[in-house]
Amino acid sequence: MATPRTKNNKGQFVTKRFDTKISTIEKQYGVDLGVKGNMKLGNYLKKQGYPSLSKMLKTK
Amino acid sequence: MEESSFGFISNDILRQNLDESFDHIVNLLPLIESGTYSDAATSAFRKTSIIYTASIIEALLFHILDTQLSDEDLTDYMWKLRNKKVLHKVDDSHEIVAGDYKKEGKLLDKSKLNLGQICNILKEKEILKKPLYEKIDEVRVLRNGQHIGPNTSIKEYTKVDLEKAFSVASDVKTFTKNKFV
Repeated sequence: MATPRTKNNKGQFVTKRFDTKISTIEKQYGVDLGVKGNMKLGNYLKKQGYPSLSKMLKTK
Repeated sequence: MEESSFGFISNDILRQNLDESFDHIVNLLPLIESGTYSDAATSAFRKTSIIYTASIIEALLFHILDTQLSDEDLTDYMWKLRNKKVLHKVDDSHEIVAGDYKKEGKLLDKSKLNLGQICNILKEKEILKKPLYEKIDEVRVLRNGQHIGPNTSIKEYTKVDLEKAFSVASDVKTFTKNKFV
């Protein structure tokens, strides 16, 4: 699966997952998550009952 | 642009593998929550997520073991009987013997350690305390559900199981981060 990841100038993978919009994910996986498309993934996960995963996404 | 979710890990390969596993978990979440799939498929997605989460927990704890414990810490001492001399044979399952009875050390093969063994070593060395040890063990048991041979029932993986695994992974991540920053 393609993920919104790229490499920084040190050649290390970096992520920008927490701020990914739900509409991007819905389009990427062809699913309907039943929330507003502009909701951020981190907030969506928290709302859906995954506060720990949301926290992991946020903390570096 | 945000950095790796495991920026406190200095080992480039490990950090990248952790990010890959974490990304896979995040990729599965929309599929789990979409309602598009059957209960059995959703449970299977959760099971996969738990296996990957346990893999992250294991890797973080292994990193602590690998970087903070010496070879001496990882050497297992056992009594061995060498130069055995049979003084008297009682029967086919009983002998009276003499010889050199010595404690011998054997360095553990780190590449073959599993999550349970890693946790036990870290607990023995008082790095891992009982509350976190017990939480990790719950995830280990959940993860071991992948070994379906001995199962006596069909396990359905729930959202509660998944959030429990994520919660422990979050605790282990914080625990590990505090060791390196």
